Amino acid sequence: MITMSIDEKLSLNTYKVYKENHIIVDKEKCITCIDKPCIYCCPTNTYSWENDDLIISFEGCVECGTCEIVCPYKKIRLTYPPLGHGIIYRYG
Amino acid sequence: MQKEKFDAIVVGAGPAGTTSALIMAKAGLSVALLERGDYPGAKNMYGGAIYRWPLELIVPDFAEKAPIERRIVDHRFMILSKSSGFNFSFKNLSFAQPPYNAFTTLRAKFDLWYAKLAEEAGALLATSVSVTDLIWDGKKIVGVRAGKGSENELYGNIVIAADGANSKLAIQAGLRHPLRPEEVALGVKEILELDRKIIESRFNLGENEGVAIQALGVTHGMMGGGFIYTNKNSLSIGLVVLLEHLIKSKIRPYDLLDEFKRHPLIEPLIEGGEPKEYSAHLVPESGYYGIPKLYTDGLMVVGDAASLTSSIYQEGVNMAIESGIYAAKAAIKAKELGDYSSNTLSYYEKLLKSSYVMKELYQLKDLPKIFRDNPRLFSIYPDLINYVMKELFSMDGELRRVKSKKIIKMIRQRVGFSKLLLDLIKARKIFSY
Repeated sequence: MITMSIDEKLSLNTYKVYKENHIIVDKEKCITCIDKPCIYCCPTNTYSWENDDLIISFEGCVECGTCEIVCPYKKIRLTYPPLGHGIIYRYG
Repeated sequence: MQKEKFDAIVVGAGPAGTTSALIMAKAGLSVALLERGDYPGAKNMYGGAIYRWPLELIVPDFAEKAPIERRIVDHRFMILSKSSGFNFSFKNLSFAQPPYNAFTTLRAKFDLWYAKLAEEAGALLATSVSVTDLIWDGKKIVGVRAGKGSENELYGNIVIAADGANSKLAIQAGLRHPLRPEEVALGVKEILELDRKIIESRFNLGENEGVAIQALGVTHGMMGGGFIYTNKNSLSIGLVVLLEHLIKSKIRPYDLLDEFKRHPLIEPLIEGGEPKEYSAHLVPESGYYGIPKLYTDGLMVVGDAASLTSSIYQEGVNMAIESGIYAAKAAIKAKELGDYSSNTLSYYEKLLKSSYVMKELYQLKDLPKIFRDNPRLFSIYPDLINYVMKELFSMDGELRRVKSKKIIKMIRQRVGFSKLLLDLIKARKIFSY
């Protein structure tokens, strides 16, 4: 299997998923944001746009911080899942 | 509310933080080494490989003790176009002998092993601790808040921010601005499990020997490139692209990685590899000009958090370790003097400025901008080199003189000789310091 979908890639990983979303987005600007770089720059496909709303699937996030930096309005704040939750790399 | 007081609190148990914790603990300072991951390394990822220096200064026998995968004896470069590659390698068998030169290792194992050394030296290693805020006393940083709801307060005379490329603490301390897309790249990687015998025969390696491959021309002109590193029983394959360019390209990073994996010259190298993990991490790319202010009253910033990386030679861990050494020395001096103000901590900057890290980054200071502003390097030149090679090597009855004319025409079309000349002058500048 040379290539895989992003969901298949994420399913390889070990996560200790925390019950609360650790990604805080002020969505006020999203509707007028033309490019929405968070959606295609995120390496884990965490963001999607459905029914005029930014959907955040935080469970597969690897906490890299790309979204914070690429958001043209600086409206994304990545906090870290507490108590050792989130991604647990076994190789790294 | 729990209150504890340490000589030093180190936030982040990566190579920079652990180095400083280890050295301070050995010198008798009370040290808390805080790691937000389940274990040190649980949140870390890199290419990658580490160089022996300066780790050997801290752990002289690390080559025997560290969880090393393979010793790198072969550095390969692949300049790829769509279906061809101009490839070369530097293989040095003395790299396979002590003291070796560079090693592949997996961060989940290496960071854990290294942090345990700091723990054995007397540092208090606390994992699953997520630091959220600095604690201030006026203009002075005196501790950190950690944990869910930030109910735990830890006090220390010195805080060392070793919290990685996207350092929140350096920003909070007022030492740097949030990273901008032109200052940082995204790395994505997969671990592919493969039998060690297959790795050794496929890459022409002896037992415990490894190869590091850098690939150019696989990023659609974006600043960056692909890589493959051989581990004991697995391959690390990935690529790195500048965020500024990724935003413009609208290509998804995992699609780019899959495209790299499917490249006809790459696919045979990874064939049969069983995917085990997919990871992503930021890489500082701004070089010398991106280095923030390194200290303030009660705080120093080290490693990736201080953007101490040199991407052209894939240096990061070595610079992290070296910066950790100097921060520790400054902390030890501060403890001796009983003065933790920026006045004393400026010693860290002084040491770093006369070190390999700063001198090297200063020499290479123009590189990030040259790379960033020159998409020719990452797509047109790789294509052209492959075109030239194809013309020179293909036999179709056409005279080399005619082929040369075609090559010159192609260069004129794709780049133009004035730009080519300018790029050559820049290249000369890079290598003639």
